[in-house]
Amino acid sequence: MLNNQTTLDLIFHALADPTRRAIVERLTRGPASVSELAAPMAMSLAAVMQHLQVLEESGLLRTEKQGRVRTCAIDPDMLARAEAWLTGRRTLWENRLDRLGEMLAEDASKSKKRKRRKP
Amino acid sequence: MTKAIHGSFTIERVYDASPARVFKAFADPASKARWFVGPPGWQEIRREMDLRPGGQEIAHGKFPSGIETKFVARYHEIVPNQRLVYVYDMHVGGVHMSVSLATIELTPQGAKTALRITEQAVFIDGKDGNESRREGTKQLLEQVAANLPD
Repeated sequence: MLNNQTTLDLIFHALADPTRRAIVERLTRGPASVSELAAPMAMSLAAVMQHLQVLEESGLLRTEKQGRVRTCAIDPDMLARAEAWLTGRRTLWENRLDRLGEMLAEDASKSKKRKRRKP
Repeated sequence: MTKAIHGSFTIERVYDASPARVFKAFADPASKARWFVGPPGWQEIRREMDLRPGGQEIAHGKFPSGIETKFVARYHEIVPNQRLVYVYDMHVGGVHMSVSLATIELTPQGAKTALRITEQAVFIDGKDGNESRREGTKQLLEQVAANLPD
């Protein structure tokens, strides 16, 4: 179930853009209409709507139309949230293991230098 | 109450170091603190480590936004230079996000060491309150954004 790469790719793609991250950050404070979201953005309404569509396809965002107002809210489904969380855990480990490798290499070169100085 | 979701992953690396040196990086608190850290921007608040079966390890820190993360582990098996098994809870912004069983295995490969990490996790985030959902989502975003490939 968690090997569903497509969902993960969509989430990563959605969050790779600073505008879309700003939209999601705004929505973590509560739902907002499309025009409220677009107001502080230095771009056309059509461009904002394109970003909203990418977020909606990733499962991170839900929209609902009531009369003439379209409201957006963060309500990613449980699976999308779990996948993003577990991918985060894995990436965190990858980064840590890189650091561990750097540390082992650094310590090895230090001890070589010490050995050279005091043969 | 939402459904628990399970997942697992395995990561393998080969290090140009003896199993004893790699094990020390996990067993010695000062060495471990040099590499066992959170995503970029994460700052340590408190760290504790008691490496023995039943012993506890804590890594408590926070993100620039102020959201705190807490890793609380309990060691179950320790075989020097070979294996470590522990179970850990992750709390984010006061929300219990996941419980994981982690296994670290070290195998000599000539003068090098193969390291394998297997993590089996259950994602809980079971409290359906708006506040916990918001904290969880915010942290999740920070974690994903901090780890985006270049």
